[in-house]
Amino acid sequence: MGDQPVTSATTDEDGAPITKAREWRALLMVTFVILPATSVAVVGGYGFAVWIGQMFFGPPGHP
Amino acid sequence: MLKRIKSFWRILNRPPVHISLGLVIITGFVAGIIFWGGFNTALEVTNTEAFCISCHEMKDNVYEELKDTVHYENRTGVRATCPDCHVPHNWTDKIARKMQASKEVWGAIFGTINTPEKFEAKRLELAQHEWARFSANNSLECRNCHDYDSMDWDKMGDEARRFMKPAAERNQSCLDCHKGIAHNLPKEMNTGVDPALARLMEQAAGAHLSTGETYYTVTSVDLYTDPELQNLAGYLDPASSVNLISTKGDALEVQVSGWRKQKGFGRIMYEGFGLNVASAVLEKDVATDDARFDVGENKVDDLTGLSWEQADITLWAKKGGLLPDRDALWGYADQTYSDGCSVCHGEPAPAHFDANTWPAMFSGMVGFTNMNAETQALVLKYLQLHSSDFAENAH
Repeated sequence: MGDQPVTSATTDEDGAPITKAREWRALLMVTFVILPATSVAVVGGYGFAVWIGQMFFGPPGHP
Repeated sequence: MLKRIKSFWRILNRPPVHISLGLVIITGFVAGIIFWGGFNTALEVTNTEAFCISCHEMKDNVYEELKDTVHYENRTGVRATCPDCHVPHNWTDKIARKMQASKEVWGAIFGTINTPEKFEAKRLELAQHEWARFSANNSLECRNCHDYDSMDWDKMGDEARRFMKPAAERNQSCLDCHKGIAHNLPKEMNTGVDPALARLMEQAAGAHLSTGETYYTVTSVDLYTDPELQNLAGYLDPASSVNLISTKGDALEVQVSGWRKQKGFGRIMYEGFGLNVASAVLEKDVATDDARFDVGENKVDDLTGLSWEQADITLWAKKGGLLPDRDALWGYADQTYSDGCSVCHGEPAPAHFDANTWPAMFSGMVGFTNMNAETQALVLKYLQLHSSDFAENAH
């Protein structure tokens, strides 16, 4: 079973072929736009949550 | 739209058809480096003095004040910039502070403190935020540069050492004493009356008075011999009691009861026999005019051999300085005493000394506090009237 060649999907669901251009667009979108934006959102959300927590529990204490 | 998302997902969910694995990895790696660098650069840029003072609210106010202080210019040229003190260095706390800065962005856009007047109005509140932060983390940001263990006690001036050594032993938070080290203190703290006392004075200004009742002064009140309030007769000390005889327009006819020493001019009216607790101080011509006084009992104080007499005098005072009871005054005095006198050591119980001991104790220590004259007089009287002479279970 493991020796059988694995093939990629060469067409999308509508039957239109996945072109090189589309693949590059997807790659660049994810690495330069989506992941950075998500990271900022996650870190920012974390900071925001800590800030709200500090409103309830007071400023950070001794190290 | 949904179709595009579906096809996008399909491309991502399978191995690539055309792009090699190596290219995918390299692209991801490069993107990660660019992002990391960019994120940290953005964090650093917003962490510089230049960025902070790009808002005129900061540049024109706190930055100008900083320029006069040792944290800006000093003998060795080692200085602190805005983030050194105001942005936590710990990563989580720094990120939280960056998110909190959205409040400041709002302020910059909507002009919350964009005039000197608006800024001054908010100064105390903003200062209190920072003081709370320093108090909670034991002045951690100061310790980025200052370390008790590295202090050379021999190089310090005598007076500085007297305070700093005990502070080092207690590992005390720097800001307990060093408020105002970098920026101006709120006006309420520097001069004039503190807000709590000011509130009591406002209450007194609006108090409704009935003749025949006893009232208490909030702060010192001038006394006159005439209802026109022209001829000064002396003044009443804070928290002194008077009996209201009559009113005439803005003037109150008050009877001051107390004890006087028979030796000397008898200018001071004391609260009680043998007690160095002042009620009123009279001008010499009034004090020596025996006709003005109703003299009562005569007693000799065995401790000093001095003869005291009970005396009442009726004089005039301006309306607006009296309250019907002393509870609010004592509440204020007690709070001020606790706050001011527990910074370096636990404050002694008021009943720890007797009334005549307190003046010396108080004046020896009051220089370490920031109480102004009126507050001092009120706190001293509070201590005296709650001293062991008046407390039930004092030793």
